[in-house]
Amino acid sequence: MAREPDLSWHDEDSLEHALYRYVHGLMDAAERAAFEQQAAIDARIRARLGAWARAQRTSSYLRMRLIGGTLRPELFLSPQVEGYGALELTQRHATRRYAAGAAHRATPQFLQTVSEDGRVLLTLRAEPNATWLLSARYAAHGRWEPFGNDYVLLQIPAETLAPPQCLLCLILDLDSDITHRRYLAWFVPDPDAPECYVARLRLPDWHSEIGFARLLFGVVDSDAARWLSDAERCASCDAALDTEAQLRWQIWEQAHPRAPTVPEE
Amino acid sequence: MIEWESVHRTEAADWQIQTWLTKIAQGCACEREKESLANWLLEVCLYHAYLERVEEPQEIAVLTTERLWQSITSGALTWREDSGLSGLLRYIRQAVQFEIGRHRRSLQRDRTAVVPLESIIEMPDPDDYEHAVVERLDQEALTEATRAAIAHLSPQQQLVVRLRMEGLEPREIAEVVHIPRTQVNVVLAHAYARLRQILLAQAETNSALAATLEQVFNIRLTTEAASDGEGT
Repeated sequence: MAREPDLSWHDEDSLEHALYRYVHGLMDAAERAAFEQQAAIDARIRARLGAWARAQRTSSYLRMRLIGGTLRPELFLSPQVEGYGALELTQRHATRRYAAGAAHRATPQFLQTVSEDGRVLLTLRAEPNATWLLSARYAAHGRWEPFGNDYVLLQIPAETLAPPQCLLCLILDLDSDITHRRYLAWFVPDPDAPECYVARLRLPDWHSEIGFARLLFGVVDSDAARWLSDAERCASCDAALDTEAQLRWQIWEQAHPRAPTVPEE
Repeated sequence: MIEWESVHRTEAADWQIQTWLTKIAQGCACEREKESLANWLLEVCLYHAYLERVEEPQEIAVLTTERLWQSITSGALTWREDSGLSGLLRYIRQAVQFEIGRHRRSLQRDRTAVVPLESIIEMPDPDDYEHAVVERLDQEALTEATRAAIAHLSPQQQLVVRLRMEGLEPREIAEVVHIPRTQVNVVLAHAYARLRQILLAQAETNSALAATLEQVFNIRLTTEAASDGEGT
């Protein structure tokens, strides 16, 4: 006869262990069902499940890396991140870009892709002054779907999500797989599409330094700004195109002042 | 049979953490194993930092992970058979709470040094409840009615709806409850339809609720009750 699941979390430790097992898929079906029934009526369990969800969300873009024997936090992107997508840029695209100016070009002047979850439409447009214009449009009320050579926004009324905070953008060297550059862009309401949020950056040319690059992007919390280096934050702020986004960087900097050197008491 | 599988999975998870800790203590862990353990620590620290609702949860979690890592590499923190994973989780929780206290004191000291005097007058008054109370008055009837109505949903619907009310996105709910992302939408849609039905029925005999529905959501009882039968 099957044993009834033990739901008597008599202390903090047993409750935490049960939560850990639930969140990591270590419970059997009967125990899971009983746990969910309990969670539905117990606010403290739900609060803990919420905290686990946030922890897992953060772990999808923040990790610890051993660099020279020292543990350091590092921003990264994986398919687990909301709005994750990738765009490969080869020399072919660079050549096309340098060919810009010809009266009739058979090559596209921009590259477009949609994130794996269909939330973010990313456009990378070559500018004549050797820079790139990146814009990421986040659809809080729907998904981007391919339509011929273009993309259209399909509205899903029941699926409205919270406004996105930031777009993390990594440029990887395909030869070495090393992250070459890291940018963070603030999402602001899109003036051209009221149902969208947009993050826009003017990226400096990287083809002079990297031949084959992969651009990864994903939607992350604004807390991620803490894990950029000072140089990366400055570069991100300089690259921000929208005034509101620049303002948010200023606010962020004011809220995170460099700690002054205070002598220990 | 199923129960055995569950026990086996739990033991395997315990064994994994135990293996990493033991190998590091013995100095034979590879880089990948070390980073895996560090990232496991980070996830657990993040959980406790978010649970405590501190101002900078990621900062707290990373600082705690670094401190725990120092304890592991110095041999002060090792796997203990008598306390197992449960004991380790408790140790991490205490380490996060300790770090929160330390971080708070450090922030207070820094802010005293850098906050200009005039900024203090812009800080919210912690004793000013009037604004919060006025904001909540209108929705009080609705909140009470919704809370009662949720009890009529299935356990899974209750859990998903309540997690959504806690502020979790459907994607996050899918991850934590281990159901497909699309199923979260289905569960929510059915639950919302049921809640709407219950609330409208209650509003027929509760004028305060009817007024709130109209005031907050612009839902008029007569038209909604009529359209409800059409399968919203």
